[in-house]
Amino acid sequence: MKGFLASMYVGLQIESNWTKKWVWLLYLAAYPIGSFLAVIILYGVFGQKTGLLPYALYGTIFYYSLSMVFFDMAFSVHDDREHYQTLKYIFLSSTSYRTYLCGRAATRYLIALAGIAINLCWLVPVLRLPFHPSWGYFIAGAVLGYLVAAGLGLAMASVFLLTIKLDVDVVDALFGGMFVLSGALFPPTAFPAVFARIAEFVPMSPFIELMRRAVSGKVLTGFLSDLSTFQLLGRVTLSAAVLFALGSVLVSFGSRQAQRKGYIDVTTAF
Amino acid sequence: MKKQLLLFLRTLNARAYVRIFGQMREATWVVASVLGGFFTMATYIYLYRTLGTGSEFSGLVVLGGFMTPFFLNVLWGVATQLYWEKEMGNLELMLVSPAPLSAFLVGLSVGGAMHTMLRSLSVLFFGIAVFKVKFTVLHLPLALLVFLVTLFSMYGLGIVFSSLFLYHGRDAWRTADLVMEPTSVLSGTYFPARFLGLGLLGIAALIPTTLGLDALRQLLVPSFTVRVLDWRWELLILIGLGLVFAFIASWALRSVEYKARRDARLTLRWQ
Repeated sequence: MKGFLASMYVGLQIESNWTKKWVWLLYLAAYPIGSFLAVIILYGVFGQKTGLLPYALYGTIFYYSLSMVFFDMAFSVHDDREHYQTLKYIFLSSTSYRTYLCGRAATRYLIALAGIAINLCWLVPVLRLPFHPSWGYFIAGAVLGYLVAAGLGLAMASVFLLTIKLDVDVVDALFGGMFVLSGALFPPTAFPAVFARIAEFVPMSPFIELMRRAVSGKVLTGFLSDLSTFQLLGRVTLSAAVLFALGSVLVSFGSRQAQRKGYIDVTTAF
Repeated sequence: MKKQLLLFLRTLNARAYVRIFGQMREATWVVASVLGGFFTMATYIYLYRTLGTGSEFSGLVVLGGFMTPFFLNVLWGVATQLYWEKEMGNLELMLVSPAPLSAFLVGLSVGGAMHTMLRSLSVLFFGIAVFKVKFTVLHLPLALLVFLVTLFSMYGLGIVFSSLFLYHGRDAWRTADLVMEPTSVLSGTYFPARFLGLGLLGIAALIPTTLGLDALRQLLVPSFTVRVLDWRWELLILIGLGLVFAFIASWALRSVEYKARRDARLTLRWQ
């Protein structure tokens, strides 16, 4: 726990100590705007009659919160090894590398959730979004969502540990692929039938739908509507348990192999 | 004069070479960036299908997907490059060499545009093949002209911003990260820029991609009617923007380099 908290502190410093505190708070509030600006413009211009704006907006911002964890975990391997050249010291410390990654990403997740909360303060009244939060489901969903994203992030980090020149574009491509399929931006009914079916099993889909219901207080479209909120919570719990366990095993394996192969302090300057 | 020009061209060639061939060494880089571009494009095409807009919007999205790798290359491959050179310790070597810094940046731009072309063409190919998008090739030479002028203007803007990274550190990097998505959205990458409204459009027009994409859509998508201006005017504005950016870039590089030397910021890492 001490290592986890220390890693969270390191994460906070990396995220915030590049500027003054008040500038960082503005940055924190402004950063998520990029994730939903296109949604507001596109649904505002073309989709007013569809009534899908709340679905797309909530979906996009909660996908954004997961992507921050996912991306941060994968990128921190590269960042610590190549850029700051501190990866070897992290491995020498008494905290396990998995704990370090989880701690750093937890800070990133909390920062993303704080940014979302700040933006919802104006989005809800201005866009008249349905907002009847169910705090129990929201908190449970937020914790489980972190575990889902952390599981995927740890798996990706293990790949980065074992490949020196892998670019973060790979993470972007995976993240992009899951964004299309997860139904975050539009109901997957637009897909061919096969992909629409796959969309239900993308690990992010139940989490996003759970958070939509937890915040808006209603079922916004037919996507996953045959599942009750409690059943959704069950599905997210299952995803979180499987993915986090898998990610933990992979990152432990990746750490051992990377140490054996001497990949911990290799710099390529690419 | 001749000696200086020769030095400029040799530096340009050397930096462009690294950018073109260095980026080709890892197949995963090319595959991942093409896939990333394709998925983003697919997202917006399916979104338009959900919204029930006309099929011409798929063409607009595919063209946006074609230009996106260039936009990303300008932002992360040119504008922020001096930051990375500084962090890796190369910048001091570049500055003590007789080669002009502007030649490095022009070389980066030329090399970056060439290696990005492969990715962009791949995204375009997959977009056309998978989503059965049709373009008219009637005005292809003019579209090529508009495309090249847009690139000239975009990379000019990238060099302008690179001078900021010469002085600043992580704050500039964070700013680039912050503006990436909004800039991409405002430049109308995935929808006609005219829908932005006059106020936002005025700001967005300073991003060369906005008018460049609008002109390309007019020339290549036959049913595209929601244009910002006639493509001829847009071409003229883009040429003007390119020249202004080139002038500002040359001035900014000189003055920021002087300021950075004076304030001892050129070798300051991890700040």
